[in-house]
Amino acid sequence: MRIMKAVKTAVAGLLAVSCLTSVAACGPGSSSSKANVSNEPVSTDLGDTKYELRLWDGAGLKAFDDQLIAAFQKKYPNVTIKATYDPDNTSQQNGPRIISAADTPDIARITDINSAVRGNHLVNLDEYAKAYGWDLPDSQTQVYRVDSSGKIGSGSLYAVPDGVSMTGLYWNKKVAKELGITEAPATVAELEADMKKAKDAGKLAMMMPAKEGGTSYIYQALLTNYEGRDAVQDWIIQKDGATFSTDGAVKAAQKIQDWQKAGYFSKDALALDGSTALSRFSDGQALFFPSGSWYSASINEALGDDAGWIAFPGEQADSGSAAANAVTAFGIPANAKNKNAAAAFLDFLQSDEARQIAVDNGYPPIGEGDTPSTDNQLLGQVLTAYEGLVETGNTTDYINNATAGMQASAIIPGFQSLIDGSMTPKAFVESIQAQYEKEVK
Amino acid sequence: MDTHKTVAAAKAAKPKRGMSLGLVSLLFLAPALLFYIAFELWPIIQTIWYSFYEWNGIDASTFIGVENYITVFTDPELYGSILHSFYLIIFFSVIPIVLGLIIAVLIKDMKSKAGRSFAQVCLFLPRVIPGAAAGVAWTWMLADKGTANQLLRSVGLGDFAHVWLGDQSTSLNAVGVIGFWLQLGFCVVLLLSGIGGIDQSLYEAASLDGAGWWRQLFHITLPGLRGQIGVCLTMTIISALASFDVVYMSTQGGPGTSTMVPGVQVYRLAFTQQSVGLASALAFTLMILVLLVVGPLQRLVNGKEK
Repeated sequence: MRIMKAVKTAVAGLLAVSCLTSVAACGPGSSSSKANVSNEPVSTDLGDTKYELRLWDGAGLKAFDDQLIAAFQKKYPNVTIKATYDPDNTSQQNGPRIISAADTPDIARITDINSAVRGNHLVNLDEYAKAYGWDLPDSQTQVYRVDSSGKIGSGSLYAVPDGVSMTGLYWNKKVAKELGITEAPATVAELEADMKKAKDAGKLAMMMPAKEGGTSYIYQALLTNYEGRDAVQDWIIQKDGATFSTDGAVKAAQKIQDWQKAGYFSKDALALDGSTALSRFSDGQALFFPSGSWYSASINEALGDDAGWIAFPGEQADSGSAAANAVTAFGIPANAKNKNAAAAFLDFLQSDEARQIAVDNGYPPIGEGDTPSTDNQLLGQVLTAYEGLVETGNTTDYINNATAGMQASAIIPGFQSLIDGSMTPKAFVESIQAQYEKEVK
Repeated sequence: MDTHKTVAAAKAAKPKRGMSLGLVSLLFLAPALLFYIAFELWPIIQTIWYSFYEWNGIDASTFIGVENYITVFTDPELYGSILHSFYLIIFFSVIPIVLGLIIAVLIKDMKSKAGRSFAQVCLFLPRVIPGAAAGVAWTWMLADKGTANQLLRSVGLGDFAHVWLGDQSTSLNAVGVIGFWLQLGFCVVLLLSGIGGIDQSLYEAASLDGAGWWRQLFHITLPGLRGQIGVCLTMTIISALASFDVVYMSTQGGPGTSTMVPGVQVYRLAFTQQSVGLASALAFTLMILVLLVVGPLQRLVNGKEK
């Protein structure tokens, strides 16, 4: 009994002490670790000093990053870069912790620009941009600019993309031919007519992986058609007064639900994940597959010349749109030890050599120079489509990225409920906006 | 005798060293206790502490009192996930124990020893497979062209075929089936070992008195297994309320939010949405609920024995 009493007293004491210190002192996380901040003057000259940089990215991009690093090290023999990778499905979760750690890498994938800049975890790149003369199109850097009040969309630059990842519509030309379709749809009306033809012939019209939110790509294109590019982008970058609750958003949701009712998606759409959808489309099981440039290499390999790609069609011809953003947006954490050397890598990302490496890995390059060459005919179509979109400027970031929890907590469950009819288009739109308001402060 | 002397000597020596028995015991306990405090109590205390803040896990936090708890009980998505986990008790707990009991009695009555061991191994196998792996495997089996639907179609019941995990009306039950499959073996093995401990002569006497199978079950087996059933209930209810791996791998809480459980929700809130405070509040609420369910259960099972 005495032991119990002693233990009880000890535990109670501990509890009391911990409660007191925690509540009285301050909340969790307020003591930031800025011990390692070194403020070297901005310079583009690395001299002969030996640098050892660390880079952090998602594991799926290892091949791409390794080639970039090899080329960079050739150019700067005194710099070595050691890369570490996290699995793609956890890099989103780990990102904020990695860039704010005391021993942060020098170059890191920025997973959430909002919290990164608000928490002062990133180096402002403006001086480097001036020193190196960086000149990237606005559409590629807008979401990496943050002003002094913490608003995205304009102001100082905090990250540089290494390539572009964009959405679009794959189509199987062989299946199309069998259905008597010779041209890719130029408008939404034509797309719907083609889907009807496929449905009537007993062919799956559109591969729709709704298990992991794959519905959002084509939805976003419809939304852009109805509400215009700026309205969509303003909402994504959290501009004051931007809202998702618009007639266009409801109309686009209605369209998705209509397509489901018309039988254009497979019966198991809600349980279909992206990679299964890819393998089925590669097997010739559907006419259309709304997805992204990231699958171009595998689809090209599987379907060869039968594989086609177009920007999502608009209401009228030649008004296509896409969601596009960086494959990886690289920034320099505030705690990084070698900021000048890290900036040299960000500068290298914009070189012709790096742009060619991006294309070799299946991504449209950043910048506006000549499009690098590729043997992959499908990627060639992606690049042509993207070139056109850079000119019209009809690209937005992904609605999935509007807030950190948007994809998991609203987009995935929302589209599932929209497709199976348990949510009306209006309720769907409201659920997206509700999640947004929960997170945007 | 010498021992008397040593004991007496020890008793005499104790006050000299100035250490009470309690203190000495505490010293022996200290290493384990320290680990317990560092890795059990302290995280719990931290979770409670975090739950009163709005915090993204990294930067400065703001004290917001019980607001997170108000959200937990007013946001249908959050309290809905708790309701789902209670519903899962049927599949994780009730059905495995009832079926497990019947199976255990049937195995006990088997004549062949080899058959007995074979049945035990077969039934226990699912328990060896990690929940995450089971989640993936069952995703395929419950898919549109998966084993479950193939079976239905092969016997002409194609109309009942479903995309089990992809339909809001069946998904929670489908997840429950995976849980049932995982828990059944555990219950069977535990109950079998309990039956082994019941005096066989009781059964013989009962048979002589003309008691049938059901009477024996209710009057000998069941009362004899109270302890084991209690353990089964406790373990399976906890795994139902705190389920994560099966749900995360098979549905991630979807379609819609039809299979969302607190375990997945906490993970999502804390690491994807960076709402560590709200996640902590939900986690602590879940812990209290588990204790509220399991605590009285322990009383019920153990209390009666005394």
